[in-house]
Amino acid sequence: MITGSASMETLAKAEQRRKITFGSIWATFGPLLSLIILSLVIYSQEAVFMTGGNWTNIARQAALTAILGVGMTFVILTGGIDLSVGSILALSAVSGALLIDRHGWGMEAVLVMLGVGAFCGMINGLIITLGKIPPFIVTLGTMQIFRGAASEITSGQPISFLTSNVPNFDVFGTRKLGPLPSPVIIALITFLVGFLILRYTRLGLYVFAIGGNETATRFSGVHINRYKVAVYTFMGLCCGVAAVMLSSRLNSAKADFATGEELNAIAAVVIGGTSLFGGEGTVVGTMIGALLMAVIRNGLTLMHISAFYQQIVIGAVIILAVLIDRLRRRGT
Amino acid sequence: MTDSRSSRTQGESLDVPDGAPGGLSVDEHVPVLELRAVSKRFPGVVALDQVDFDLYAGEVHVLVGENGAGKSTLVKLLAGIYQPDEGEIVLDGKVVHFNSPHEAQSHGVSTVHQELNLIPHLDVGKNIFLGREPMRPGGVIDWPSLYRQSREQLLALGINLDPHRRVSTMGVALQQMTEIAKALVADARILILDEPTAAITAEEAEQLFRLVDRLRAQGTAIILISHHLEDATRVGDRATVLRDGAYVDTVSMKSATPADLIRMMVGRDLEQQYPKVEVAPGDVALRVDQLHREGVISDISFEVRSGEVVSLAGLVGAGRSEVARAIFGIDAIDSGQVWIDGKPVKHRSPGDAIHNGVALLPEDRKQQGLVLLLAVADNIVMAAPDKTGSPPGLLPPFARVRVARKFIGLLNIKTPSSKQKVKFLSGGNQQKVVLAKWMLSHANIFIFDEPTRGIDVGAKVEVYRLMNELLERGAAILMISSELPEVLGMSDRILVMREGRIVAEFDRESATQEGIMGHAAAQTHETEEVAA
Repeated sequence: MITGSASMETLAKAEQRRKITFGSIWATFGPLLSLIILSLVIYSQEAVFMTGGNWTNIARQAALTAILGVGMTFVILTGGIDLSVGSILALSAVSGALLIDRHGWGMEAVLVMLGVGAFCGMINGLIITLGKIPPFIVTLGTMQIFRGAASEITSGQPISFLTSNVPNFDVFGTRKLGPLPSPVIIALITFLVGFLILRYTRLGLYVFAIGGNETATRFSGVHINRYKVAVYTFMGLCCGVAAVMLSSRLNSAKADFATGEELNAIAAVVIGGTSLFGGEGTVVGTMIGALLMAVIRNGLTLMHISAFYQQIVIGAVIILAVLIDRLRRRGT
Repeated sequence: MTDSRSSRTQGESLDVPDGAPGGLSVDEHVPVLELRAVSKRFPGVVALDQVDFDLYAGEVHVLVGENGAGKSTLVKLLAGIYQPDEGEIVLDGKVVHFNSPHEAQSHGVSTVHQELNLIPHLDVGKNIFLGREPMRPGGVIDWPSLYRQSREQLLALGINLDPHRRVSTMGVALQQMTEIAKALVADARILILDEPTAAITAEEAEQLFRLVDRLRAQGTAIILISHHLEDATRVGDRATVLRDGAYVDTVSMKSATPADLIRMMVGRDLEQQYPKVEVAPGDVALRVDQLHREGVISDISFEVRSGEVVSLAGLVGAGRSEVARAIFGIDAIDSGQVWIDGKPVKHRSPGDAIHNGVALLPEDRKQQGLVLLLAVADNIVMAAPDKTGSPPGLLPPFARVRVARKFIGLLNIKTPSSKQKVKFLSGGNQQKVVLAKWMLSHANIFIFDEPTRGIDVGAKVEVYRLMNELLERGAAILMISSELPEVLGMSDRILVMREGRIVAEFDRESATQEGIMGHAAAQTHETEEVAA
């Protein structure tokens, strides 16, 4: 009987190992596989899809979602959410642009955009942790507040022709380094920073730990609030980075910049396999998620399918991605 | 039956069925319920191995066994929460498959779980009739009828309880009785009571048993799970003993004594099971002086020397874990003082306590001790990343793995790799990961809250050996345990808590199960309004 139960135990373990392997393979390669298959399907319909020029285009389109997605991955990994990122982006962009336009600032305005973004994120983090209010509610509120502030300080008017005051301001949006447009380079740098933080730092470990089990993390002596504020501040900083990139690309800033962009960022994170409950996910997945959405938009446009259909398809992809993820998790 | 009538308070006309169909006896030939060679496996552990069990109408069949013996798994199979991997469940001679709790209930099998399943914000009547509310024509709930029937059902059980009372205002004992009433309204023929006496006083337990006697007389078949052997003696007709997931024996309670049951449950002598080593006690490592938290704990004073195990014994809810939480800085105290190595300290957060060398191995390992989704290595380094030799702020994977490997070897943690997620480890190995976390943080005062809960019997001994090793290195251990054999087997001194206070102290030589229980469960002043 002893050997019997022992062999049952090994059996159970072997079974479990096999399942883990399948699950982790899907987690790592599932989104990537979807991206490749989808690309091949579009390519079979439209040969122009597979040209270098078109891929540069796709990458440029994905950059904004990717930059915000890096911060959003951190937030969602802790089990939170940030609905205010589009508004933070707008407030950061108009703050810097106003200084350039009305006060004659130069490139220092870029630092102001980054600073305003980080500051707004920190405010989110402080209200969430000190007020013990769910992130959804807090950022639903600050989404309105930051957007309103951006409209108020600009009186709702766009601030244009930034390069006439700061000639080099277009460096973040329209120039190229080799084959890579600057938005793509900025997105890659943001991704790399996020990746390294998650993998090599204490903050990275605690992001996963807080999302995985906040109580156990607190009982391990981790100052949860400090790390949460850091995470929302980082999210805000990503918004600032995106603000610099976007205002440089459009050579202007406007209070209604990036409206609804938070939803694209959340979608990229979710398609990339990060659990909305927190604790599990990667920034690599988010990058693929952002790329996948850009590929769908680009491909459908090439195939002359209307923008309304694009919306429907993207929505379906989000639900499908989470459904597959759920099935995978049930397997383990 | 007539007793219950006299306790009636309202002048309503009652139509209580006089219950007892009568003539039912234990000796009836066909069991109402039978388990045939049932097995259930989980990753890494065989929870039930070819277990047989039968139950007759009008009988109370007690399931006994240590923690991890498989009692809860068996209950969950009968309640439709788990499905057996092998073997069959036979109801009235027919093989049945319970794919959900709902299916089990529709076959007349109702379970009152240890964690009660009432909706706290609703009143008693609404809870009793949840999902089967009496209706008027047109789909409107017939409230007067619902409350009348609730009252009748409660009175039939000998409980004088207002059906309009909100469940959240009632004690555990009354909530249990409400659950039983709910089960009977759902036409339960088989009632499973899972550890009903774990969280109630001795007096309340006696009231519960009178209710059980009454149901038995009415022909209900009852399965009672309890680790209090006195419960088996008090109400049991027969008892089935499980050990390490295997069936040991079924005995008649007319002839079996608690000592017989213990022998069957343990299957080995106490020496082997609790390998306690004597370490000469050193200086006082932890001293608490008149800790007080309003309504939770009061006037808690004791000291623990290095090399010593001091246990807090008592019933669930006596305030033992709350003492641990106060020392560890989780809950603020209203007054009192904690001293560590002779110095007064104030712990505002677990971080402060850890800094002063205190470690907590919490009762609920999975919810409070570990991040199950994270790797073994990540969990080990979590409390003391600076002890991995990494530069401030950084914590590269290789540093985590290097430290984790050391502890995996030192504590003999069975895991395929340091990167395995902790959720795939067995209970014993999970506990070792928690311990490794605190050894890395250089803790010297270890608070073990239910150190072996949910851990296989074999692995328990390993945990005890590790406790011994800590003691030999000069650590001080404060243990909280609801398992009296464990308390008696591993402690140097035992403090008994009741209602937030320390009510008795025993040393290793003078402690007995009866002595501890006598103090832990002594009659309380508050009495619930349960009619006799």
